[in-house]
Amino acid sequence: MAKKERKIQQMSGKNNKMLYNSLSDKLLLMFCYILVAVFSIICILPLWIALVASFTNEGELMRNGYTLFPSKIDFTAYKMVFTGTSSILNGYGVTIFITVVGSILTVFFTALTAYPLSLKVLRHNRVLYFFIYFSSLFNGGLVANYILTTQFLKLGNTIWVLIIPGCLSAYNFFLMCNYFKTLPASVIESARIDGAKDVYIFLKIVLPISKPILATITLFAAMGYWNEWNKALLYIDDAKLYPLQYIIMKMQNQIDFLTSSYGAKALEALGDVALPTVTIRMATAMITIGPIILLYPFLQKYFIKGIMIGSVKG
Amino acid sequence: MSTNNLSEKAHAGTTGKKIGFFRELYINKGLYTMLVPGLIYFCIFSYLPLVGLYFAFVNYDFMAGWYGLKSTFVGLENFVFFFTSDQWITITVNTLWLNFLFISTGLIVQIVLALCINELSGKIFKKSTQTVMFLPNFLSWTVISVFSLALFGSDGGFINNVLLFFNIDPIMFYQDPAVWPAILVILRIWKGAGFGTVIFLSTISGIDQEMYEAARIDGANRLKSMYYLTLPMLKPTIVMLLIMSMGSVFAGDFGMIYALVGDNPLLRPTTDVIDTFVYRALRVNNDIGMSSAVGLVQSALGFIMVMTTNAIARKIDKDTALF
Repeated sequence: MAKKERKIQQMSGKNNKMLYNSLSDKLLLMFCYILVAVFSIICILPLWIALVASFTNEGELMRNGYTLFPSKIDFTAYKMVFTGTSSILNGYGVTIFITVVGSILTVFFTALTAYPLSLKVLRHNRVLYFFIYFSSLFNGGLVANYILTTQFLKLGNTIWVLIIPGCLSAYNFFLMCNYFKTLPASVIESARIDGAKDVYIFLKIVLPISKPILATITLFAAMGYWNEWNKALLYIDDAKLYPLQYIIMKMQNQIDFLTSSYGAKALEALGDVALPTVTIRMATAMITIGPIILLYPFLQKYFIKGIMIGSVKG
Repeated sequence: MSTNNLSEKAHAGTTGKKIGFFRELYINKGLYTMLVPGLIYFCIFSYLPLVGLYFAFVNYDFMAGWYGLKSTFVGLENFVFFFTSDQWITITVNTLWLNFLFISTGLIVQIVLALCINELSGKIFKKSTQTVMFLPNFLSWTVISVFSLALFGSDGGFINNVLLFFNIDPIMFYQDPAVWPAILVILRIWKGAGFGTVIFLSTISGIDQEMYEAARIDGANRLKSMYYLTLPMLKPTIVMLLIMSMGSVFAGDFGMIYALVGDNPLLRPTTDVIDTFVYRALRVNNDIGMSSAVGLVQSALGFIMVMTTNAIARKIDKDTALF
C-alpha cells in the first residue's frame, strides 16, 4: 500500500517536472532555488560567525572585528571554559539534570493524565477535559505564580523550581490525548474485558504502542528544559544552581559575573593573559548548543511529526 | 474482581447507563486514580494562582498573613496608579505593535518559503536546506543574544564590519532604540521560519496532485498554479494560525526581549513590553500591587481576544474554530 502510494507520488513528481518547462517556469524555479539557498545561508550565518569568533584570539577580535574566517585558530576561550574552576561545568551538570529528570516526569505524567481522558469511558470526561483546557486560557499571572512558588510552596533556590512548574502543560496534554484517541479501541476494550487492570493496560499495552508520541513529547520537553533560564532568573540566587542558559544570560549582562566565575585561578593556570571576555561568551554559547546540533539531525523527524500532530487541530 | 463487576464496567462506558456518582467513581477507580496526580498539579499550578489575582486589589504586605491576602483592600487604586503613569501607553503600544509585526512578517516569510520549497525537486538540496532552516528554532534566546552581540555589536560587530568595508558609517545598534523593532522582527523571522514552513508544507503535501495537472492543461504556468491553487489551499491553515496567535497579542515575549535587550534602559522606548514592565515592577521595584494589576488586565484582555476571535471564526466557518 505504502509502496504504491510512493510510486504514485514519484510519478506525479515526474509529471510536475514535465508539466512546467517554459522559460518563465524555469526562471521561477531558479528564483525558488536561490531564495531557499540564501535563506538557509542566513540561517546558519550567525552561528558560523559566533563559532569563528570563539576560536579567535581576543586581541585579534578586538582589532579586526567579527569575520567569516579565522586568521589563526586560538583555543584560549575553550581552555578557560574547561578549567576546573569555571562555573560552566557546574551549569552543564544542572542543565543535564533538569533536562533528564524534567523530560521523564513530563512525558510520564502527561501520558498518565491524558490516557484516562482519551478513553471516553469516564462519565466526567468532558468536565475534566475542560478543567485542563481552561488552564491554557487564563492564568494568575507572574506575581501570583511568584508568590505561590517562593512563599507557599517554598521552592525558591531549589533545583525543583526549574523542573516542576511548567512540567505539565495543556498543550502537551492535547497532543498526547489526540494520539491516544487514534489507538485501536478494540485492543484496550478486549484487555479490559479480559480483566486487566487499567494501570496494567496503560503500562504494558498503551505505552509500548505509543512510542512516536512519547518520543515527540520527550523531545519537546527536553528542548524546553535545556533552554530554560526564565525560572532561574526569577527563583534562583544560589550560583551553584544556575543552569547553562542562565549563566550565559548573566555573562551578557554583568561583566563582573564573568570575571568572578572564572576567577584568578583559571587565569593563573593559563599564564598571564587578559580575561577574554568576549570570546568566552562565544565559546560558552557554542558549548551550550553543541549537544543540540549534534543530536538534532537524528531527531528532526520526531519534531516535524510533533508539529504536524499539533497543527491538525489546536 | 467478579465477572459481574466487569460487565458493568464495560457498560458504564458504552451505554452511559444510569448509575450513582460514587458507583461510577468506584467502577472506574483505576482510571480516576491515574488522573489524580495530573489534576492535583493543574489545581496547584493553574488554579491556585487565580486566588492571587486578588493581590491586584490590595496594598500588598506579606506580614499581613495568609501570604499577603489579608493586606488592606484598596479597590482599584493599583489600576489607577498604572493607568495614570505615562508608561502604560508606551508598553501597550509596543506590545501590540511588535506582536503585529511578528505575526504578519512571520506568516508571509513562512508562506513564501513553503511555496518555494514545494517547487524544488532536488531531494538532497530540499532536505539539507530544511534542516538548516529548522535549526534556529532549537536555540534559546540567550544563545541568540550572544549571536546578536556578534552581529550587531558596535565595536567590530559583523554588520558594522561589512558596513566599514563599504565605507559606510557604523550603526550603534545597542544605543539606538529606533533600529530595535527591525532587529527583533528579523531575529523572530529567523528563529521561527523553519517551524512555520513545516506546518505549511504539511498542508501543501495534502493537496491533490491531479489539480495541478488539470490546471496545467488549462494553461496555468508555475506561478499561476502557485498563486491560484496552492495559496488558496493554505487559507484554513493561515486562519488557524492567526486565531491561535490572537490570544497572545497582549503577551509580550519576555524570553525574547529580556534576553536580547536585558536591562538596557536606552532601548526601552521601543522594546519595553507589558511582560518586561511587570517583571521590573515585581523584581526591581517590588511593586506587587501594580504588577498584579497589570498582569490581571493583560490576562483578561488575552482571554477576551481568544474568545472573540474564536467566536468570529466559528461564525465564518465552523471547522476553523478551535473550540
